[in-house]
Amino acid sequence: MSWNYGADQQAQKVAALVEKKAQLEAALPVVDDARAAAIESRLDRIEAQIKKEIAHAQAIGNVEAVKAAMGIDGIGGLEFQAQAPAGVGRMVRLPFYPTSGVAGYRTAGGAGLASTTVPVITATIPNNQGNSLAGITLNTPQISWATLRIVGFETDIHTSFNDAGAAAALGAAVVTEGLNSIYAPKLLVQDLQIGGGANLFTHEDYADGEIYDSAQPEFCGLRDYPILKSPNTAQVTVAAVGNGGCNSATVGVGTDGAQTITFSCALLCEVLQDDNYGSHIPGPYARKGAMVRRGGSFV
Amino acid sequence: MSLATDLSDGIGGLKFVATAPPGVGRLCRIPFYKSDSSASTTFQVLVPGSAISNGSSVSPVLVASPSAAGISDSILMQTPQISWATLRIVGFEVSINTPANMASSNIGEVVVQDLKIGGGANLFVHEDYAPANIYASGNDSFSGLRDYPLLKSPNVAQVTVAVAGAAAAGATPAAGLTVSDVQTQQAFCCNLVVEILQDDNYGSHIPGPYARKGAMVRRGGSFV
Repeated sequence: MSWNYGADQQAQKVAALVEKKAQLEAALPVVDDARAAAIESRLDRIEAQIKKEIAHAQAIGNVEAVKAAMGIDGIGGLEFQAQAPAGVGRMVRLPFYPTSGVAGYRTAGGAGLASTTVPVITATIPNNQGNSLAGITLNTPQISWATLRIVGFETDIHTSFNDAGAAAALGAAVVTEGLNSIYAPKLLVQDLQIGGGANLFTHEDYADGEIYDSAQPEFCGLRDYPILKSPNTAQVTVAAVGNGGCNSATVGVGTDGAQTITFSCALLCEVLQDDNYGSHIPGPYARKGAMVRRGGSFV
Repeated sequence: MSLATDLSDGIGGLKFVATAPPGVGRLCRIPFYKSDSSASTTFQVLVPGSAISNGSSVSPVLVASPSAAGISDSILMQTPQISWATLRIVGFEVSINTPANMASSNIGEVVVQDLKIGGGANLFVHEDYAPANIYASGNDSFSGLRDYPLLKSPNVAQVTVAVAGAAAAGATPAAGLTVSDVQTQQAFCCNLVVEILQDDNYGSHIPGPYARKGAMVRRGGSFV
């Protein structure tokens, strides 16, 4: 029996045990087998100590203080999580703009024209999958007022729409194109680079833009988290492919439906230093300890 | 009080979580391409800036249409050789665009089998075809694999893809099809989820916790 300390001392002891347990559990994945076995043995002993303290707390009426020390007060042992903002200057999005025009892509500047102010682009898919649109290169603006670290890339595939087209004029033998009856187009991305540097994507050619979709449950990784500092900008090449509808020459009647895809792309960044709002602490994923690496010709 | 409980007492145990980037070189994707130019009665590749094609090492987007009742002809898709890095495979994903309004069209379902590295053993738990949607990128969780092997050049990953349908309702994707034909089609991409262990250009990385030694403990096994 260890009744030689009071309620406050017991809470302190439990808090120390919980903290030690957290430290050991954090170390477990990165140690060798022998050390892991020793840690597991120590964790078992800590668990036994905590159980003993809980029993003591029940005996001396100190349960609430012990639960508080364990971080589970008032919740019956359950933990609740809520999605939270990332913190100042973390996970900010920097849009890519269509700084040059390509046929088939409508920007705020007009069909096939550039726009340096609006990042949203609508591609009209040709009404014949035998001839796909070419790629379009997008750029981020120069950010002269901050130093950023790139930590991700996102696409926002906002709308894909397949118009029904006009009804066929010649009898029941001809099938009329139905609303949304044709598969949605795909957005492809390739060659994300900073200031003409190496590709940050793991794929050297086009990949499905949906793997970087903002609606995905998790972020997709990049080869590196480089610094973005003016006058450097980031650029990426995207292309929309699909099937705009049937070929009216084949069907012979009616008007093909039109298929469009509206999208935008953004760079996911951490603000490291802001001329106006000062320097920030980046998220844990972009700190020194999480970006350990050895070697590499670009490093 | 300790750091573990400072400023958190009395909050009812509520924890705040922000979904974060995975860290350098983690959860990267490598697309599969139908890079051979063999003709298929079911599949064609959509290539930006050019005509629809039997194969492409540039575009991963395939269009499929069931060409036979039951199972269609199959194709082999593979990742490119990644000469600049050593990767650990941690998952497989697909993204499929089917028509929102299928009406009476029979588009079938994309099925996959036999994911393997450099001619090795199958990484899927299923020895035969399974619906590709169990690996859909929009699912809440990743689907597991039998092993997390290394992928190092000249090895590439391969997967076999087909379409299972109730009837041979489709036509090979091509230019100038009728509405009936086009309405039987779907577009899809397949990707490998990988961790970069060593990158010739950006150095060696620490993989995510799911791909570290402590999370991959195993005993015995003839392939180990």
